[in-house]
Amino acid sequence: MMRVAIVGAGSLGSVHARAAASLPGVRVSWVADIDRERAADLAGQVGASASADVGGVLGRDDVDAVVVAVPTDRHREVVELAAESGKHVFCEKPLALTLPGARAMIAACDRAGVRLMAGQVVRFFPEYARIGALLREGAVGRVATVRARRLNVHPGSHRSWYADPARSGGLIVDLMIHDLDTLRWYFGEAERVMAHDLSTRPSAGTLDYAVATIRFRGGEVGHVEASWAHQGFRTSIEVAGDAGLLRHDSQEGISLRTERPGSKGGDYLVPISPAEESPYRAELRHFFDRLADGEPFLTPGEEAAASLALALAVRDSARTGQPIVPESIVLGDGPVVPGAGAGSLAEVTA
Amino acid sequence: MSGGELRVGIISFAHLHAVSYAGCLAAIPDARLVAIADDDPRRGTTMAARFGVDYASDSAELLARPDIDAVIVTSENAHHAAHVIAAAAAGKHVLCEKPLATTREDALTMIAACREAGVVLQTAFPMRFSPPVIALRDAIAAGAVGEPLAVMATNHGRMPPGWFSDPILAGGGAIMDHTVHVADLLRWILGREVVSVYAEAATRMHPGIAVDDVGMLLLTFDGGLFASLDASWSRPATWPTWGGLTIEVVGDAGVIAMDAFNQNVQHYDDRDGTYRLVPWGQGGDPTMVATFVEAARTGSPPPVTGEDGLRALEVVLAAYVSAASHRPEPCPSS
Ligand SMILES: NC(=O)c1ccc[n+]([C@@H]2O[C@H](COP(=O)([O-])OP(=O)(O)OC[C@H]3O[C@@H](n4cnc5c(N)ncnc54)[C@H](O)[C@@H]3O)[C@@H](O)[C@H]2O)c1
Repeated sequence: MMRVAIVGAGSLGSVHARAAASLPGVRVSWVADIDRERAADLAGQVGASASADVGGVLGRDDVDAVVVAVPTDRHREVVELAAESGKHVFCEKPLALTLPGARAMIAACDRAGVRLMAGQVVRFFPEYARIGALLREGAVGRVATVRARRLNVHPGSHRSWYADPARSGGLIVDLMIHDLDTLRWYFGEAERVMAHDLSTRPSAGTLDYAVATIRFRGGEVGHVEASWAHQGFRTSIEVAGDAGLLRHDSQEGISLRTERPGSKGGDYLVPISPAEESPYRAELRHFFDRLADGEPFLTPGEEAAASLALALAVRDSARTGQPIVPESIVLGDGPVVPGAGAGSLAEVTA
Repeated sequence: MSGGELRVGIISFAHLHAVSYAGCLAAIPDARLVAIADDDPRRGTTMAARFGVDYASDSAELLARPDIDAVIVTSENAHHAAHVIAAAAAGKHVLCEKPLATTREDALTMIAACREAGVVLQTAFPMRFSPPVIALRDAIAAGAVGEPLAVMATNHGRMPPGWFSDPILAGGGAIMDHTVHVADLLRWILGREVVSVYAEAATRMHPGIAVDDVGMLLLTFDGGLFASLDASWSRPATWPTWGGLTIEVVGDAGVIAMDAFNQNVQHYDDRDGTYRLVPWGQGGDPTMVATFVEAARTGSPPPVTGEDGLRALEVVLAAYVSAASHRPEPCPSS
């Protein structure tokens, strides 16, 4: 029996607590949140104990692993504390706000001999995993272009910390990173990025929208959009090659829809579509399965750090108005990732 | 002009839009197609017979006819300049297929020649007359999304056959073919000029061609607004229609999305095992040709000018410079 502590009892902490509680061989033993009421509320739902003392919970004997779902600027301190306490760590995306921060977290886990997985959950969304599998089969031949969109309402309306880039990383690091990570998984590393971001324009106020072109080292040309200016949640992806085209649009692949008088927009967070297993449960199952069998994670800390490096390159390009070669950033303090990307696709498709 | 009716010649059917334009002329009471010139005799005679008009093997022969008031130039891109300049010298009004030219110098010479000859020069941008595009412009003008801040646009298609992938005759590939429509529409809708262009270009869909079939552009307009445009020939042969044109505008008070060719009936056809989209919208061609006829008949300024064609071409040319330099490049007129 793996006993897991959930740290951060907000939106994602709740998703993870319920997912973990539903996994065979896993028990949620503790829920910790600086907001005691939230901790107690969620703990009650999953039969766990609650505490506002994060360090105390991380030091307990009845905790084998930790799920970190605190605001992004707090990831590092909680992950490092968990590592020092000898607990394996699942940390929400983005892993960190800076590359030195990400490296320090990875190093802390390595030093402590614990394992670190990042919640780059899109790799566990069945539609994105299916596209990955089809690409691996050569379903569209040689890939020419890839277009990925991720549109949402501004999450600051839901939790104010998202609106502060010093806490969330802003639109590109918080939201676009999902598709940047997925495209790295499909196509490998980027050669060059160029981007625009409304948050660099004084006229934009609180809403945000960003677009990036990405030239991959294999020659594929990407177009990635992220938005905190739309209503409701929507993602889409299209991959065009010399032998065909794959596309998915969350607004078209809907197998169950409810409309009620007075309902609007839709929720900001987690898209629900009837499936055998939610992607959030699938990623936690992967976490515990790989802890048990010792095999590599699909999204280890190093992969999340490399995707963060790409997101930071996109953000820098938008800020400077010039194209950025991500490698130069990544290699600035030594490579973050040893040749990740397409190779690791095998794991999920196998 | 004989009896108030505009008598029109078409110079070359190299661009198949000529077929549509000829059909549009037939439906306009004040205009008549009288002759077709084409250096390909097979194509020229076939089209002349189809539309029941005279055939000339040489455009000079057509331009020498005093009973012709105006011409539509639908030759290969690189030949637009010679045909338009000769038409101006012969005193004929001109509707010129897009892109106006393949070089800035050609475009400037064409504009000057028509101005000096006192003839109309209209660039054929039919999307300006597409009802969904007009509805988008009207909505933005009415403040539907507040102040526009960012734009996402696509103009996808398949690679057209023949000279479209010839670097000399076409002047480029997908970027040359598919950038000018959206560049023109955004200038028109936003009332702003493009100041700089970044582009990624590649040849990946059609190995062996000498031009780009992937074109991903980032445009910056005066005032700081940015736009992306995917001009790629990235639709597979099994795609149910030729391609499309979309524009989505993020404003400070909302988002509006336009899909100009999303006006179709879906046809699942067991007779030949295909799935197709059959358009029910009429598109912009009829209105565009009618506006040209009107401008040529009355001498009033055309709704789309040679300068508009030049500005759109400048975006293309800056994109090609950027694709080689990997830097944002300025647009010359800005
Ligand atoms: N994978 C996804 O799809 C996805 C979606 C949304 C958010 N996220 C990520 O999940 C993380 C949490 O986001 P959220 O939307 O759940 O936030 P949230 O604001 O809903 O919840 C955060 C919780 O953490 C608590 N907290 C804050 N500081 C703490 C600390 N130092 N120790 C313990 N608890 C603390 C807060 O009281 C709050 O209850 C973020 O990193 C975010 O990027 C991932």
